[in-house]
Amino acid sequence: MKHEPPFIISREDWSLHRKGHQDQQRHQEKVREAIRKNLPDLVSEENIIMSNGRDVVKIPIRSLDEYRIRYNYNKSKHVGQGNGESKVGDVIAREGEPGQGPGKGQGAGDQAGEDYYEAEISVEELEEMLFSEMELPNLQQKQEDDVVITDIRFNDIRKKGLMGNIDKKRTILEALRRNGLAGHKGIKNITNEDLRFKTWEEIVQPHSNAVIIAMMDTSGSMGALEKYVARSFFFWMVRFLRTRYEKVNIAFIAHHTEAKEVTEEAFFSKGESGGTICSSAYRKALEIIDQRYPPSLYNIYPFHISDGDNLTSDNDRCVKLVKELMSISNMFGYTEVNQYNRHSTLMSAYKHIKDPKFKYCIVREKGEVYKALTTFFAKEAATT
Amino acid sequence: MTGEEMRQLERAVDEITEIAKGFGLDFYPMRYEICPADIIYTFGAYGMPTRFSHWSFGKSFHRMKLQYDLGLSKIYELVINSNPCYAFLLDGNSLIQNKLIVAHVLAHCDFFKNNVRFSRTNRDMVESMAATAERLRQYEMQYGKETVEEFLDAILAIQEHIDPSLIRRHFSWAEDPEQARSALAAHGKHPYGDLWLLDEDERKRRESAEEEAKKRIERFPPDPEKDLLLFIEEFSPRLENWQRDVLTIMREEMLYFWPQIETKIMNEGWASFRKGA
Repeated sequence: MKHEPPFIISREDWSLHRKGHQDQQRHQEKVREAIRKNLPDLVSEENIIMSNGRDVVKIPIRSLDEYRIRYNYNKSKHVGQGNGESKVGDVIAREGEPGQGPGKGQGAGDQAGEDYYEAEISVEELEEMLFSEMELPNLQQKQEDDVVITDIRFNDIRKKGLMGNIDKKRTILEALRRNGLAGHKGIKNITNEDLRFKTWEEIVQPHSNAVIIAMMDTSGSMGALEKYVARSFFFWMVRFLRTRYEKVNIAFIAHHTEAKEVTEEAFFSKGESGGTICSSAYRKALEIIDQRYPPSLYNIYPFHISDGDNLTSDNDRCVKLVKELMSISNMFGYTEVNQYNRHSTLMSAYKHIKDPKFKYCIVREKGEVYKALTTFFAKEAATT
Repeated sequence: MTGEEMRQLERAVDEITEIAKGFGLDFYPMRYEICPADIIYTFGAYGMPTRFSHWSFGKSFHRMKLQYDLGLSKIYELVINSNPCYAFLLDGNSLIQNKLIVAHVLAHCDFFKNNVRFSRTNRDMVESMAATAERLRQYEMQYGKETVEEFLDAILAIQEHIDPSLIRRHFSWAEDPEQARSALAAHGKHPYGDLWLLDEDERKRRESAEEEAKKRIERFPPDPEKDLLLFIEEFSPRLENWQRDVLTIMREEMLYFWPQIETKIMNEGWASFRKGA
């Protein structure tokens, strides 16, 4: 009979055992899928807009818990039960209406919060997902399209080169290595063979420029929501255009009855007061384009955000100026933040503009910023 | 770990094994395996080195590994309830740590071998899980990854609803599977049940049985069934063959894991107590 040893100690090579990592990747994929499905909500997520786009942001995702049958904390007596004819998607039971959501509403709540699964994602990844659904409309060949800029970049090391470009660190390292091999410690004589030089490469890039004319109504009727929508809208738009153009300039114009060019900070934090005459902003935009951004060199994207409450007598002038703006720009976007479906004087005037360059979108709540973005930058195939 | 350290450990294990036997511990032959952290954490997340792939394991692996990387937790050892008994030791344990761990592991194995809760667990689970994992991969190729994953998601949601009772009958409300089936037939829900009625004798027998059954059984199952997985496996009219197979696999695995969940504290207690002795 074979005698079985009471124990064996072994140590194998486990380096090919990658199951945990593979399944982790699948999980990661699922997270990403969930994020993609939640894009409309995430676009207006506050911590993304406020992060300035530099950091990794944490996004709460609820859908990645494994399903479990669990106790009913609301203590209702029955379980949900179908009648035998139920189909996928049928709701067979609902929790009783909770009086107040956890942690929401007035006063301190007494209910436990929900467990969120937090996914970490860099703003870049989010951009990639979002922008894969977007496209720049009406791109035009600018006459200066063949203007290229050359840039040099040091990205290679060679043994021969100009003394001015010597790479000291690598040279010393080489000397150390050679001496070390010969059994000497420390930095000894440096010979010609040790010398290392940086060399460069010329890169040629086509020159392309875009300018956004961001116009915002800062009249008394613009509230917190309007500001927020404007902020997240411009945040994403700037980032989107930056992925498509080498250089994106932005001019900020704030207006009530008269328009002023302001800094980015002032643009988003400016207090509101006064009435509304939108044509003032358009006139200012034309003036800026005329002075600084010749249409022959720039792709121009004027965007206007307003609550639509324009002085009625100004509307005709607005329509005229918008047409003028469109003639020199790639598109004109008008976003109206209209929470309560008010009758909007400006929109009733714009309704009659029939031009593929003119796009408008009505935003009723935070979550619709995504809708606005996809309206303006929709892929052509999708819109037809 | 160098060869010298390996030899030292072997000597120590030899000694400890003798001492443990002297204390009356009764364990299976041991297979110690020294492996790096991410391997031991993979096993920890899956519960078994050879278990099938699913994203939820990947998720818990990631979380556990992260805690290890941040120094918040450390798995020194992992013992599998099997014969021979596999014990995985973390690469990087010092010799003195390993001595203590080996004593601890032997007590775990003694517990697995002798505790009545484990008396009906499959001691060849390592191999059997490897085989089922392979089968699941086959299904994935045959029916698509997404389809299989979706089904696994669904079962994992109810996987705890088994009946781990040691004196389990097939169903708690029927003596044997045959009776359960005829109860179902009496209930008239079996998709091909009516075929039996083509046979004259069978029909007569059934009719009288049905009469009787109808008096007893108004609804199906007559008593609530605890073992949800078994019930679905046996009676679901719309499961495909592969799905039924997967369901069986999952139930077997859960039956294997259940005593571990059930006796976790006692098991650790026994191991720590014995180690202390």
